[in-house]
Amino acid sequence: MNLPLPERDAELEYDCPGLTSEGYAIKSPVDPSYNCVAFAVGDLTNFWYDAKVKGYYWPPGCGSADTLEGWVCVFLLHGYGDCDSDSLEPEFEKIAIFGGRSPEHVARQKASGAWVSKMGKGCDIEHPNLSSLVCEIMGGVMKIMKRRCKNGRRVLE
Amino acid sequence: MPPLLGVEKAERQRPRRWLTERGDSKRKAKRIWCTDAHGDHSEPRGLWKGNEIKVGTGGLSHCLAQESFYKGEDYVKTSNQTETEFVWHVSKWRRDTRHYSSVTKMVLHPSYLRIIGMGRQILPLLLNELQVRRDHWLIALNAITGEDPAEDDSTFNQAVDAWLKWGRDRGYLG
Repeated sequence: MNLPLPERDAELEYDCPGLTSEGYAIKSPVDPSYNCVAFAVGDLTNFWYDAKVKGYYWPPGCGSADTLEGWVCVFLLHGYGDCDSDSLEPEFEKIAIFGGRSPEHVARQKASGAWVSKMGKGCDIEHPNLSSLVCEIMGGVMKIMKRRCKNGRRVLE
Repeated sequence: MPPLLGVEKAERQRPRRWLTERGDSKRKAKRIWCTDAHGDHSEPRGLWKGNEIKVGTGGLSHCLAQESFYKGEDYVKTSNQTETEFVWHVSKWRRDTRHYSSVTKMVLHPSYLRIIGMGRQILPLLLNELQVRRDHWLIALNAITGEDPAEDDSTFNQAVDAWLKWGRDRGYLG
């Protein structure tokens, strides 16, 4: 039986205070088995990281998961390229990588212009903009990438 | 109340301000690590000696309250104390890393490292924790045991299942 999702997550709001003021919606239960990178590429069964034990996945040849280059490599493999704006472009899907010295999070834009994120080991959320996620844990926006919709349709929604 | 994080013999380089009134620096003493109100690792807070604790500058009352945990000259943890410490570190780690995507950052958290440092004695508690709440204990289990029982290309949940089976096969889990 699926329990109803909570409307708020106090720990999430504590870690990312901007969500409290900007608003957000919880879209999934807490699930540590996949992370934001997995979620951004549409994989809800693997935790994408180059850990040296079994139980994690990272694309071969993509370098360290602790580097922006490693994360960019993942999204290049999925057809994304450089982009300099987070504004909605209906013919493109966009992702935004957050971090500081190293990448910490990635969010994906929906057709509505809102963004969706898997919050670490926590829940999936929808949030209206990128600024609401800027915080100590996630850092700031490091890079935005986009890919053209296939035959006018988004691969993920 | 947070538990002490550890105690070790400190017969050398004992800070002068921690000497007992008797000032016998040759007697065995042990440094005591405590946690502050936020659970952070602290500097050594004082000395345990005989049946008394000498708290150094910045000493915290909850260090003194933990005195009953320590009996005799040798530091021997009771199973109850081990469990208390384990539960506290698990709780601290889970809360602090809940929104991390970086496994590196998860496993470098002081509480995660402390749990690894508790060694094989912690396996029943750690495997039970994994069974109750799936979380990223795979690296800790590998570090403690030197084993990695999951199949190649396992998903996270498949790897957790492999570790739970490993634990049951070896009697760590009921």
